Amino acid sequence: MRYLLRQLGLYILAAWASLTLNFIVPRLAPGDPASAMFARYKGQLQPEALAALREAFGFTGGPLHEQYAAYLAHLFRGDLGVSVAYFPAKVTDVLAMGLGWTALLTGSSVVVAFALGSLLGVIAAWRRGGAFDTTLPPLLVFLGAFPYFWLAMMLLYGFGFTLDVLPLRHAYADTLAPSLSFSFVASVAEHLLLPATSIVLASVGGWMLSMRSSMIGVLAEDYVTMAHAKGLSPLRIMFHYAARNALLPNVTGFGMALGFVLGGSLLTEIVFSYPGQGYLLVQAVRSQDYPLMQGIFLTITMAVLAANFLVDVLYVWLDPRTRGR
Amino acid sequence: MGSAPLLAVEELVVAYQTPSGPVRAVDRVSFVLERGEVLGLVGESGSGKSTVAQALARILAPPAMITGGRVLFEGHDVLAMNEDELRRFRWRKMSFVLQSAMNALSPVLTIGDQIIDVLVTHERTSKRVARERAAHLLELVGIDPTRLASHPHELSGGMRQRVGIALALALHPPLVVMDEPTTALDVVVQHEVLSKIAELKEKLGLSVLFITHDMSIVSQFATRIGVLYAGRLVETAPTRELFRAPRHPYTKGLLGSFVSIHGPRRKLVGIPGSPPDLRRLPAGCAFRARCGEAAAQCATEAPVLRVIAEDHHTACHVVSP
Amino acid sequence: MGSTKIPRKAAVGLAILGVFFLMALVGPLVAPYDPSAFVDIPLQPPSRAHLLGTTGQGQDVWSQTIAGARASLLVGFVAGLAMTTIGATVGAIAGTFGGLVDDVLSLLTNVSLVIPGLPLAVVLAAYLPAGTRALLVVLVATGWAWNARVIRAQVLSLRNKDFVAAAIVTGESRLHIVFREILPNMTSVLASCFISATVYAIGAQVGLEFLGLGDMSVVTWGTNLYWASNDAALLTGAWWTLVPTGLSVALVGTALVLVSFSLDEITNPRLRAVSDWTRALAARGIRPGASTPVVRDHG
Repeated sequence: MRYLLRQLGLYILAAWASLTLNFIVPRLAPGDPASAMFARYKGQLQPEALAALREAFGFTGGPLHEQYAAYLAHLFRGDLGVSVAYFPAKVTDVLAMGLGWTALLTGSSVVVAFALGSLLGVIAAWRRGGAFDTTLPPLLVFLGAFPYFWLAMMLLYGFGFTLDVLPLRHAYADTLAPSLSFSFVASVAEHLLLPATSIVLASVGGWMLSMRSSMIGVLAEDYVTMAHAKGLSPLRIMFHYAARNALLPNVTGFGMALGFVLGGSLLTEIVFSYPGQGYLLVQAVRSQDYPLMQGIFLTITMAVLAANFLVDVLYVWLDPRTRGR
Repeated sequence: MGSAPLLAVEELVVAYQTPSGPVRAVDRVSFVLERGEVLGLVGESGSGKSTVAQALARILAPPAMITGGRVLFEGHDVLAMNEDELRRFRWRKMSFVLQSAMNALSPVLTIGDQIIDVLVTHERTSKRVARERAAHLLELVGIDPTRLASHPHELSGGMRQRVGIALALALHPPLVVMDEPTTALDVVVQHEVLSKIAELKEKLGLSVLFITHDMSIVSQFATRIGVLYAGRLVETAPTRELFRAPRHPYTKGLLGSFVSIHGPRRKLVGIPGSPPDLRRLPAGCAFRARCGEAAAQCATEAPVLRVIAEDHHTACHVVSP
Repeated sequence: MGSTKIPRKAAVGLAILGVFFLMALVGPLVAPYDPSAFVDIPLQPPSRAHLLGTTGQGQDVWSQTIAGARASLLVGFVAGLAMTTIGATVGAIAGTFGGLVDDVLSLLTNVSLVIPGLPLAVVLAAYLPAGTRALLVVLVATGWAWNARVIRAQVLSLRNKDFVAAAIVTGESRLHIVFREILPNMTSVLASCFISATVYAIGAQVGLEFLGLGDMSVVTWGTNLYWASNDAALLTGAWWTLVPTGLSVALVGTALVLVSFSLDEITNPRLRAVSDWTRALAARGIRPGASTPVVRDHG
């Protein structure tokens, strides 16, 4: 289990680094935008609210280490300040609204893209140089080169506006209230389809290429030659012997790429007005809501670190060599 | 079928596709392996010996292709088989022990999985029966059957190599191809594994194609020896005859660098120069540049195997019967 | 296919890049209109007067696409170069020195890798004054680590090579070894790092500007898409305000990736050998299966 402990240590360190960055960046910025922010809010917020916001950011007027301590103390109490865009809601409450939707959209599309891309990569490597292998990768590279949100806009234009077969925005129909009824779940799925498809289209090529090159390496290994020599069926060699080994570096890459794909999926949310963190992010940027921006940065970082740790647990399960160590 | 030898390779040619065109890695290699015989194939790395071995079961990975010859196993041409026939032929008729069992066993599957796999595929036994048989196989090579649940990285190099041997014996094939089975091991373990192979060979009456670069190992095992150079067989003879009277200058060089089984063992350093680039083989004899006895004819005409003495063939212009 | 010929993928990639470079270089001189100026009725579809139509602000889309190429490619390549330089330095020092230096630098690299880039970039961009310099800082800060990781791994595999061992034995200083012996011997890795960093930088820039971060008054591919979306391009069906820019981003990205593929094939000839092999078999009507094919054409 030493492997998992080491990874956990890395994530704790990364969590601390992002908390600290969150503290430092407003103070390092030239022109003191934080003060400017407080000055601008003076008209908008009541004096108590402004004081609370200063507190939460650690702008207490004391020396830096005291400010840092005050900031951390508020953070660990779950106080990220008040949102300006959604005043008087607390940032934590605003974030809570969007977290589930982002997890649903990003989670489902990343898993589908990874599974599909890996499968395509396995097949392409197995039939290297064949028709499938020569046509699909360039096509998917081209698709993947478009900005995620651009593909999202095109899908929205095509299927939403022109063909009018799928909903244009939001996570479920306005006429429904969240419940576990069939009509609500169906509506959620219907609203998920287009944004998820655009994320899958944009990211599947990357997974395919990395799985393909990992497979090509594995196919040259002696244990694959042995599997052929043993007279096993091609499907068994391809998946049980080759793909299972080729998957390992890709699972590590999955954790690393998660943050990157998430960036794209946040922008996709904006196109569909999908009520997740990305949608909140654009609201925050437009109304210069610094507390909300920073809150989003922290929650998303924590979520990505947690997801990375889950991927590590999966890795240990997949690779017996990491278990003893 | 009784009259056909176990394995007869006729004029086998194997080429690899390279960016500068196809390159012949094995060039018109022919040999015969009779039942109960141990044939040693000897050569430096790059001489094509592993390529010959893997071509026999057609398990060479791309970009290899077989461009000529026949591989007759019990009279049936392996090169004419379709995929189904090949799958039935592999491991049941011819199994492999590959160099460095670390890479020959998949690191993510247990030892048991990789033995049971073969039994279930070829004999359609239940997993339970297969597991029992796998346990017996491990016992046969002196490994505790509880090791079936282990992964390859949990075993020592010597143990992995013995697992490889157990795996090769799983279906009692008439022929086992051993490709440098002891190269990655240290001397003591090497000795241990070799005596295990010798013991099992006697006990089970196996035929073996034994591939190595190490003359001292092959001298202990082989009944006959074939020497490969740059993809071509340059000499074949019974082991005793070859050691007593080597004829090809290359073989003489190999044996010159080899003192005795019990003396200090040296690698093939006794021959000046290095093996030729297969992409740019010279006209004539491929060994000419390193040969101390080369004649004018060697530069123009490639020598072919000729009978030099009884059961002794050499491909060299300057050797006379 | 001869080995001296430029691979087809590289040729296509370089050709596309050439067109865009030309566009960035001389484009503004030949662009029909001032990209920021109101020149005609807003939201006109492509016509003879406006090859790619007009935007919601009445600007000429074709002129905007050309102007965007200059701004976006410049930022992309400068950021890519900076990321590669920093990544190569950190990665090569970590890989060559080993020990504590490696531990610290690897930790730093891995920490920056797991922190998601876009949210951090948003926070940074929000606090920094809007402008190209801030954008470059943001892009490099969020994108250098991947290169460091790749280059460290490559250095570790080079460290055992003879020429490095020789330099160590002759008592060359470590930094000399890093910059004179190791980095020059991995040009193809550096080149593909530069390419992927540039692709990242162009994409991230477009994303940030689409969010509304940066200087919205400058014409770049990112701001073009921001304004198109702001002017409700989809609602009004003004696809021509989205397609040229999106297509440009994708073409440049694809071209860079194609060049990178070719670099891979040149440094790893085995990759190409297999494609040639498949083609050679196909020419003889053989579809490669699971077993080594038998091809008899020499009788």
